[in-house]
This record gives sequence, structure tokens and C-alpha cells, in this order.
Amino acid sequence: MDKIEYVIEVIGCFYSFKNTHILIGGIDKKNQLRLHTEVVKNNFPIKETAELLNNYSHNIWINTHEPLRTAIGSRCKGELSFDKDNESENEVLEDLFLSLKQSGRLSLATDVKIQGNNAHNCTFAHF
Amino acid sequence: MALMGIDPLAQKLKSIKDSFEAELENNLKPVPERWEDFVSLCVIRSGGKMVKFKPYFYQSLLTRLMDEYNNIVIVKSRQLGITQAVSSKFLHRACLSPAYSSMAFLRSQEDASALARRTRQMLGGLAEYVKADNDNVGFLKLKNCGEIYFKNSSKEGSRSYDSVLDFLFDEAAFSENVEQIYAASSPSGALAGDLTTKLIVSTPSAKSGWYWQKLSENNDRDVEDLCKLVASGKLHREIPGVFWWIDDAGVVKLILHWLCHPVYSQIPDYLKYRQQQDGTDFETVLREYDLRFVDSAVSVFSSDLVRDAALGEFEDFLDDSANYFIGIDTATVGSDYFVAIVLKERGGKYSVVAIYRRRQQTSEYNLYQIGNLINLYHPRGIGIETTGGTGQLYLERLSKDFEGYDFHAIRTTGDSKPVLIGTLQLALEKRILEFPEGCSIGDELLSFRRQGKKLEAAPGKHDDTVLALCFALSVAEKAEKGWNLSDLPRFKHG
Repeated sequence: MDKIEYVIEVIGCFYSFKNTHILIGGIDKKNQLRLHTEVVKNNFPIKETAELLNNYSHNIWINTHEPLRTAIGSRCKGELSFDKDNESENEVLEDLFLSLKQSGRLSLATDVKIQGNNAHNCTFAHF
Repeated sequence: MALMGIDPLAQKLKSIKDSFEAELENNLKPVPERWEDFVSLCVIRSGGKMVKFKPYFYQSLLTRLMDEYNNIVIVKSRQLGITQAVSSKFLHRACLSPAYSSMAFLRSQEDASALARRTRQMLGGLAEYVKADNDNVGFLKLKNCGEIYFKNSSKEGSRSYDSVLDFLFDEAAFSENVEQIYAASSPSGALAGDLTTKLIVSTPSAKSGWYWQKLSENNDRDVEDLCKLVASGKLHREIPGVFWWIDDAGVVKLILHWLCHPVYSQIPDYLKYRQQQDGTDFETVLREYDLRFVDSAVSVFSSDLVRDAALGEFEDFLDDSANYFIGIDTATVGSDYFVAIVLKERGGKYSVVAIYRRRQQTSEYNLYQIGNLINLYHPRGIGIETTGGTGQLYLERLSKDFEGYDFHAIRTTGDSKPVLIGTLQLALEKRILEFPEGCSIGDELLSFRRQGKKLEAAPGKHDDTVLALCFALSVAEKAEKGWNLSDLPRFKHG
């Protein structure tokens, strides 16, 4: 099977101490977002999360989280808020997700389960 | 003495009057033994005039059935004079026996007072036979004879009364407390034994609640179908509009439709006439006059849709091609049930494949059972009601034990509940939801009603499975609407 070549490699990381969800992938030549690796951690300290993320040279997008952003420094490409009072932003994310899905520009590796339906991370990674 | 001195003539006149009244009282005529003869003496208001009561055939039939049977359940059109006939029967019995006592439960205080007035009015033509001994609105005591109570069924019961022979539960489908009042009436009538007659009377309402249960139980045929046949004129016994039978428990079930009324049956297109007269919608006319059990104002879920949806089956295995969702309505140690419903989604259709429904169990036991469901079905979403606090504890515990699963805290409020129920209604109407026949969902859907602004189970019924189903559907719908990953293309990595 041909190796997939990524034009841009990205990481989406939704961090909370109790439940951290990391999706790793990239955008290929056909402008398709492919997510090949999923990391789910529970009770995972910020320091170790930052170390894990530093193993990759990808652009990293995280949820609004000041300590994590400080820990990964300039590697952080951007932050997004998923607070309840930030619903309009969530709607934009959902629209983007649906648009990607509808136009066939989003695919997952077979072992990426995204348990807990933490799918906004997919779109999140697209940034 | 002073009066005698001043006006001996006035005193003499008073004495004559007193002795005349005493004479009259002692020489009251005997009340006719036959009800028909008795009521022909009574005065009633009819068609804007005061006239002698001439009973229609079906009224006579009802009183004959009252003489023969202890329990009668009646479903009737409005304006047939059934309450009047029953109260005249009570009055007749009260006139015949000093030990007689009966109770009429009406829907409101106004109704109770109105029937009391009408019953007193009937006495107007019986001056030579019987006299009232009091002037109370809610209680009629006849001199040297029996008594009748007129009560408001929304407030009063019959506790603390003994040896009551006859009971009328009027408009039973519309009285919230009728079940409790009926239950409390049994001790009141216990001493009377076989002599008691209990009449449960109403125009149709929704196909749920205590009245519907009483009407539809112990029959070997569908009451709704019978009502439709009677209304169409295709089925009757003595005359069109009248049908009755004895059910398996010995209770008389009596259907009375306006076709049995000699005046109404002659009016062309009577239902349309009624609609114009009453200024109401046609559904109400059908319910109140044509014996239709339709009531969107009370019943939330259409019985036809509920019946059509009861086609599913339980499944205790995982279907890899389907998505699963769980809705949980928690409960503590009270009479409410702790319910978890597993909803399977496949090809845009939902089916209930498992139900956990227990009450008065420990939280550990409930958590263990929910854990089993999660481990078996790997749900994509789990909705837990957190209003009230108990659900929050379950949510926290389950989220901790099953990390990686998508838990949704659902709050039911006056605003959110109609939306949740609306989702369920829509799923039934679109015929994309099914559940196993005979499970508690069907019964609870049928007894779920709208009481004013509130949406809740009928008195004495539960709505826990309905709500758990709403939660599961709500979570499923959210997943379908937005972040659904099931149809994404897959590739092999590494």
C-alpha cells in the first residue's frame, strides 16, 4: 500500500486532566484530512501531555487551556473554547465538520475509534 | 300568652295551620313503587320549561339495570339526561326507605350544586308525597326518608360515611381523584353488601386513565370498536344508540349514543348542529357526542401511533452495523422506577432493544446493571437526567467508571420537557421508532397526558420509561445531527 504523503501535519488535542483526547493526522495532496492516530489518556498531567506532543513536529491545536499552552509554547498553533457560552463557535465547528464529511474530505484510520464521540476534535485538527 | 290576649283570632289561625300541616305530614300519600310512576310526578326543567319528567326508553333501561346489577360503567354522549335519571333513581330510593343513603360525585362544586338544585326541583311535584328535611346545597335529607349527598369529586371523598348504598361517579374520565374516591367508597358501602349500586359514568376522553381502564377491562371485545359501531348505527340492542353487555367480572357496560334520543336523532347532521351550537372544534364534538376516544388536549401520544410502533423485539447481542444510545431516568427509594433504555439506530430507524426498569434498588445495583448494558452495547451516547440531583451522582460515577464514553447531562424543565416529548412524538409520527410489544413503554405512552401546562403520567401511572426513551432519542438525535462518525471513510494506517 502506498504511503500517504501529508502536505500539512496536524494535531488536535482536547486536554482535561481526567480525559485527554489527542488526534494526529494531516492533510494529504487531495486536500483530505486523514486522522491516523488516536491517543486517549485519563488523569494525565500537563507536563506529560506536553512531552507527548513534543514527539511530533506537527501544528498543534488545543482547547483553551493556559497551562498547556504555556507548556507547549510556540508549538501551539491556536486555541478554541468549548465553553457552553461559546456555542456560536461550536456551531461553526460543527458546520465545518459536516462540510468536510459531505465533501468526502475527512477519513479515519481503521483503529481510530474516537470513543465518546469526541468528534469535534476531528474538525479541530483540521485547523 | 301576650299574643293570645291581643289577638285570639290570629292564635287560632296559627293553631289551625299547624294542625293542618301536621295532618298533611301524617297523611302524605305513599310514594309510587315503580320508578316510572314516581318520576312522572317529578318536575324538571326541559327545553326552557318546567315539565313533568317523562323518561326516555334508555333512562328507564338504566334504572332497570340499576335494580338488577351492582356495578355499571357507562360511556355516553353528552346531553342525554343520564345524571338526571340517576339522581331521580336515587331520589326514588330515598323516598322509599328511611335507611337509604347515596352519594353523587360530580366533577366540580358547581356541578354538584347544580345537580342538588335539580334534584330538589324534582321534589316540587311531590309535595303530597314527600318533604325535604333540610335546606343544604350538598346534602338532601327527606323527612322520615333517606338522604342523598352531592359531592365535588375534585375535593371530597366518602370516608367517614357508612352504609352508603348507591354511588354515582359522574364524568369519571375527567376527574383527577376519582380512583382514590372510588377506592375510599368501598368501606362506605361494605355494610350494604349486595344492595349497593356503583355507577361510573362519563363521556369519552383519552384511552388512558382510571375510567378507560374500568371501561375496557374484562371485555372480550374492543370497547372503542363497539362505540364506533354503535355511533354508526350498525350495532344496537333494544333501540339504535343503546348497547350493553355484562363483562367477565359481572359489571354492566352500557354504551349510550345520541341516536337513542328521540329528539336529537331527528336533527339532520346532528354533529354539525352541535358544533355550531357549542361553538367548539370538531374533535371535541366527536369526543363529547360521537363516543370517540380522541383527546389531543389531554392525551399526548396518539394510541394508533403507539400501537403501530409496538412491533420491535428485545436483543441481547451487539449488532456491529448499528449505533446504540442509552437514556437513563434515575430514581431514589420512592415509588418511581430507575429506568435505562437502550436504543438501537440502524439506517435512520430506532428500536428499543433493552430496558432496565427497577425500583427501590441500591445505587450500586443500578450502577452494576447499567455497566452491563454499556459493556454489551458500547453506546455512542448516554443521556442521564440530572434534574433533582440524584442523576448527577450517577453521571459522575458512570463518567468515572466508563471514561471515553460520551455522557450527556439532561435537565428537564418546563421549557425543555415539551421539546424532549416533541422529539419522541415526531419519531412516532415519522414511524422511525419501535419498541417491543407488551413492554411498559406502550402503557406509559398511552397514560402520558397534558394537564394544563404540565406533561406527566396520569394519576397512579408512571412516565419513567417515556422519559428515559426521550433522553436516549435526544442523545441519538444530537449525534445524528452533528458529530456522526459512523459513515466516514476508513483507511489502513501503518
